[in-house]
Amino acid sequence: MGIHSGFEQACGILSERLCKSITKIDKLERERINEIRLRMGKTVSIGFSDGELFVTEAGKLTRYSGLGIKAEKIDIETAFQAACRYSVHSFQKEIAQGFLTISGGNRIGICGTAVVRDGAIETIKDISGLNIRIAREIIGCGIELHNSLYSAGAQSVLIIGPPSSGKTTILRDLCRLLGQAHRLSIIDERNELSASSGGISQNDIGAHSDVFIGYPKADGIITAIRVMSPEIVVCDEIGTSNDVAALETALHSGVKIIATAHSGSIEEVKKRSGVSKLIKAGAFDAIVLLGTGKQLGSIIKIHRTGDKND
Amino acid sequence: MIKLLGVIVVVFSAGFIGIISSERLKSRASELTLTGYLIDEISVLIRYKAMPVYEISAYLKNDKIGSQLDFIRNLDDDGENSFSAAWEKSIDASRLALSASDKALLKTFGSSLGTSDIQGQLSTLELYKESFKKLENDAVKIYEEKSKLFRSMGFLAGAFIAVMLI
Repeated sequence: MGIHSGFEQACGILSERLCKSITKIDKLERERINEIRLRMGKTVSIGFSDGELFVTEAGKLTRYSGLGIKAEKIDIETAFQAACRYSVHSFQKEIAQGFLTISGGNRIGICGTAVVRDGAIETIKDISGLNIRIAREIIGCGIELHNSLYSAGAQSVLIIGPPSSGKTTILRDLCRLLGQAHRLSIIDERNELSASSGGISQNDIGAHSDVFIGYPKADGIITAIRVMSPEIVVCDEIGTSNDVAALETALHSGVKIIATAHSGSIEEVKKRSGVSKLIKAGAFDAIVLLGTGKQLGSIIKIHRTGDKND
Repeated sequence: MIKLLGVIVVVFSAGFIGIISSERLKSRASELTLTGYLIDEISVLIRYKAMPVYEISAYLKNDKIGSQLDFIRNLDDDGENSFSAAWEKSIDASRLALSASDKALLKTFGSSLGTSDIQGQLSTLELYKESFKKLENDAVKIYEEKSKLFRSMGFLAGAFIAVMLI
């Protein structure tokens, strides 16, 4: 497996002071970093799959927050402005949704005070915290899943797991593998799968893959079916009723689906409104549960929806 | 003969300085007019395309108005550094006829770009447009009042120095 870290791109948005300290972290530890969290006036924390640690000015990891460097208002403003490419006006929709995607597919979660108009979040002001999630293209992490499910042809699959279980990373590699043999339409609303820049995908997502970036999932799915006649539609993190309705349309068009959803177990996802409707309708041939923590990215269970105990 | 040549050189040199000073007033007014047009263009790019600032600068470099302004041509648009820092650096490095206070306003204008949502940007741009319009009107008035004075003063000063030398 080859690992292409988005760590450098993530550090690129940090203030010089924070960047200096974080890039001093030991190389082996750096490659394990999942998140960098900046909280106003609090110690910068570094997230790993097995917990969070703080970082000192000298780049040492510690459990004691008092020893770590603190994120000041200017650090958060600098990172926020850089994440917006110094153009807040160009990312209004993303800011209102609470996240931004930067180069390399890294996602920046924004925490602050919501400005609500007519019941909808218009923007976020007084930003108090940022969570920089490091995207990783792990070439080969989807091979096991690919060999288990796709040796006999295209199938519809739902990949589930708790947050930070590696759903997007596996989905990205699955796109790379399936995109070599099938016509894929990837609905990449947050630009996390392809990490495209200027229309060019920075991640390998397969030779036969078409990417719809920035489209709301439902619109992207319908457009892809209309204009690209895909064999498989791929989308990350489904959940809303609009997503479900669009995926139903895809199914009725004879298109296979690969989607991900947050869920801690197969039983839990079957109870979730929306997704459960798709499962009951037989939309998925299999549901794949991923582990978290020490089992991060590993397949815990592959549940065939045609099983007797279904 | 040498004295006569010296007198001619002094008169024309002083006259040339007068003309340069007068042209500088004209350039200042025209740069302020162009800045006003520039703000209009930026407003359109933000209002209808929500274009990021570095894309705006790349667009303006190849644009009829932007390409006439030295600080836009010199603007570093690699997108790696803070836009306001790149804008300020470009103004400092450019040969502009603008006064120090004009440049200070232009710098604060650059630092405000990209820092708020579309509505906020458009309101800010409108505000700066008005400020630059006032400066432009003042600059035109000063040019009309002083351009002839500067030219004739240049030649007269030259003539005065020549007489003194003789």
